[in-house]
Amino acid sequence: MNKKLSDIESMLNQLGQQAVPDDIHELAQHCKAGFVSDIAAPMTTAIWKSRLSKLAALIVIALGLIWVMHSLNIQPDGASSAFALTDVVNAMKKTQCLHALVQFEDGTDPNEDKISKKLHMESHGVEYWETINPALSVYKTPDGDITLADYEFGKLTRYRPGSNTIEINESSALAEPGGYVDIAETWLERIDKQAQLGGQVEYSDTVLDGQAVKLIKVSKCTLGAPNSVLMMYVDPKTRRPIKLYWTTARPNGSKYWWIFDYPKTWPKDIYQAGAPRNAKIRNITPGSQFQDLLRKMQESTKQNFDRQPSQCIAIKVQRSVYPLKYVPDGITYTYIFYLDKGQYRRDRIRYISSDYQNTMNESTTHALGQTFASHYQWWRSDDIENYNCFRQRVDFADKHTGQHISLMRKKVSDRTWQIFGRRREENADLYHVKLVQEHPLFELGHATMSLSFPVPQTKGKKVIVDEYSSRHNLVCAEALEQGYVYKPTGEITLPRRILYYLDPEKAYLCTRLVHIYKRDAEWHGDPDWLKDAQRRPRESHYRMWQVLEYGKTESGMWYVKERAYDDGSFGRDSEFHIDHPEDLKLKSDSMTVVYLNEDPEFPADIFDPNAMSALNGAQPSTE
Amino acid sequence: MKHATKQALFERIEAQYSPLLESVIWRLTGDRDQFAEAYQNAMLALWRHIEKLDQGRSGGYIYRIALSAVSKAWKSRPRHLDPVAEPMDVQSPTPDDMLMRRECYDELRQHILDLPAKQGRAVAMRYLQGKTYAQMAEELQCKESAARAQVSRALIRLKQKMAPSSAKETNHE
Repeated sequence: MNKKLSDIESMLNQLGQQAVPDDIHELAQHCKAGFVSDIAAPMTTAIWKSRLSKLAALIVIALGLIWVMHSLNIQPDGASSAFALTDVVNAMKKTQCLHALVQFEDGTDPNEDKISKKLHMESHGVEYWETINPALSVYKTPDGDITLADYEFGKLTRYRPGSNTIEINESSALAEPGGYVDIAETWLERIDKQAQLGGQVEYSDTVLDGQAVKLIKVSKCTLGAPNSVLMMYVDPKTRRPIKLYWTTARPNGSKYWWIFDYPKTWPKDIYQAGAPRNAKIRNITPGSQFQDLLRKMQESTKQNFDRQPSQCIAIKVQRSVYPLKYVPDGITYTYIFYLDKGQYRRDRIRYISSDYQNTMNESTTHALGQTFASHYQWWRSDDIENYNCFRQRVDFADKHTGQHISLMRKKVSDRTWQIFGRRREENADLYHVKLVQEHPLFELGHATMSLSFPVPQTKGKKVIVDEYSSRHNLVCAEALEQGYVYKPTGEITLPRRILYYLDPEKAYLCTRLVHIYKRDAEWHGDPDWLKDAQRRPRESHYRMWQVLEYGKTESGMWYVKERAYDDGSFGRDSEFHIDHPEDLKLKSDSMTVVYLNEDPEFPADIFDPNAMSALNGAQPSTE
Repeated sequence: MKHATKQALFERIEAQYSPLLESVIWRLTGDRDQFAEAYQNAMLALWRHIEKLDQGRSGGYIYRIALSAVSKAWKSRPRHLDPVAEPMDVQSPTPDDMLMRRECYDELRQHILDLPAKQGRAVAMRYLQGKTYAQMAEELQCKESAARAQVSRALIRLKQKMAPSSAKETNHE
C-alpha cells in the first residue's frame, strides 16, 4: 500500500514541479481581458462610458422597437389613434430630469442563467438620476457608494463609503465633455438592428395602480437574454414612461422593475447625493502631459482602426523559444484569419506534442517559406497533420447577424467538429471587441487599453524621457505599481515598473514594452512590505516585448508584422542592470510573425459553419 | 456593489491571486485550451465571489475557485477530443507510452477535481503549490495535524481511484 501511495505522491509531485510556460501568463491576461470586455466592462460602459445609462439604454431599445412598429405600420389593437408613438420620443427628449429606482424580484426557475441573474440582482435598490441641462448623471447604490459624472467638465466624482473618501478625477474618460448623447440619437442606431432581429410589439390600454396607462409590450426581444419580454407603461397624458418591466421568457424567471419619475430637482453635487461633509478628498486627476498622450493615442488608434482593410487573410504564427526540433520552423501556434466586410473566421492550428513524428527536412522547411503564399499553402494543407499540427478550433463572427460560433475538433482522427460556443448579440459591440482581440493586425502593439485602463493602486502614470526613447524618437509612458504580499496564500508580486515605448509615427503602436519587477523598488511606499512574506520573493526580473518589423496596409493602417518576446532576471550573472532598461536586448527567438494578403480569394463556404465537415448533427444556426 | 467599484476591486483581487491561479490551473490542465477555459471560469467565479476574497477571510477559498474552474472546464470539454496536453518532463521511448502517461496524468487530474472540497484544496496547496503543512495550517486556520490528515485522506482516495492506471504505468516502466 505504501508503495502505491508513494506512486501517487510521486505523480503529484511531478504535477507540482511542472513548469508553467512563459506564455501562460500572457494567455491568462488575454482571458482576463476577454472577460472584462465581455462581462464586466459592458456593465460599466453601459452606465458611464457610452454616456447612456443601462436604464436609458433599456428605454432606448424599448422605444426603438416602438418606433419600428410605427414605421412598419403595425396597428396596435385597441390603441387610441390619438396616441402617437413619436409623442413618447419627443416627450423624452424634452425631459429635464429622469429619476429611476431599480427593483429586482428573484425568480424560482432553476435553469435561469445564473450569471445574468446575479448581475441584475446587484442592481436592486440602485437609484439613478440623469439630467439634460446640465448634463449630469448620478448613480447611487444601497450601500452608499455614489458616482456623479459631470459631462460638461469631464469630471467624475466618486464617494467610497468604506474609506469615507471622495475621489475626484477632473479628466475622466468616463465623463468626457460633450459625451452626453441625446437619447433619440442612439435610437436610430438600434432601430434597424431590432427590426432585423424580429422583436414582436403589442400595444394596449390597461390600468396600473389605479391609473389608466398605455402598455407597450415587446416580446422575443434580445435584450439581456434571448426571448426576453419588456413591458413599458406610459402615462397617456405626459407621454412619458412611468414603469418598465423586464423578464426572461421563462415562466418563473426573475423580474426586473424600473420605476420612473421626473423630478424638478436633483443632486447637484456629491454631497447633495448623500456623501458626508467630513469625507476625505483625494484628487486622482492624471497629469496633463499623460492626458495629452492618451488623447493622441486614442485619436490615432481610432484612425488606424478605421483604415483597416475590409477584406484580408492574415496568418499569424508563433514560434516557440523551446527547442522543438520536430515542429515546423519552431511554430507551435498558427492562426489563419479571414475577414470579409463584417464577417470573419479564425482557424487555430496548434502543434500537438509527441516524440514520435516526421522530422522536418530541407524540403518541408523550404515549403514553409517566409511568404504569405508559402505559409497559406502549407497551413491550408492536410499534410500538416503529418507533422502533428492540427486545425483545432474555428471561430466565426458575423456583425450583421450578431452570430458568434466556435467549433472544436471533436476527434483528430476523423475530423469531426462540435459546437463549443455560440452567442448572439443584438449590437455590434461584441463583434468589435472580438475583432480587436482576434484580428492579427490589431492584436499586437496596441497599448491604449492597458495604458488607460484603471489599475487600482497604481501610484503614477506619466510621460518620461529616457535614453531609449530619445535614441529612437519614441514617446515613453511609465506606470508604477506596488508590490503585494497576499496573506491568504503567501504569494508575492514584486513592485512593477512598466515602460511603454510608443511610436507616434506609427499610430502610437507600442514598439517596446518592458515590465520590470523590482524587489527593493524605490516607488514602493512601505519599505517593510515584505515583513509578512512567508517565502522568499523571486529576484528582480523583467519581461520584454519588442517589435522587430512594422507593416502598413494598402489602406494605410499600421500593424506589427514581427514581434519578439524575452524575459530574464537581474541576478548576479545578468548582463543587464535593473536601472538601465535601455540596455535590455532580446536573446531568445520566441516571436510572432504576421503574413498578410489584402487581395484575397476566399475559398468557397469559408464563412459558413455548416460547411465544416461532419458537425455530428449539431446545428449551428440561429436560435 | 456598483459595477465600476466592483470592477476596480476585481482588478485588484485578480492581480493578487493571478500567480496562484495560473500555476494551479496550469498544473491541473496542462493544456492551453483547457487552461483558457478554466481561467475564464475562474475569472467569473472571482467576479461573483469578490467580496469573500476582498474581506481577507478567504482561507483556502481561492483554491476552491481554481479547482471548481478546472472541473467545469473538464466537463465542458468535447468528449473524445484527442489529448493535446503539454509534454510531461519525462522521457518516453514510444508514442504509446507517451500517450499512456498523458492519459494517466489526465486521470489523476480528474480524480483530484473529484475529491471532496477540503481534500482537493489540501492536495492543491501541498503538491501544486508546494506548501509546508505549517503554511497550510496557517492559511486554513487549522492545526497542522488536520492539514496532514486531509492530505493523507486525499492520497488514499486517489490511490483507490488510480489503482488500475498506476498499475498500467508501473508495468510499462
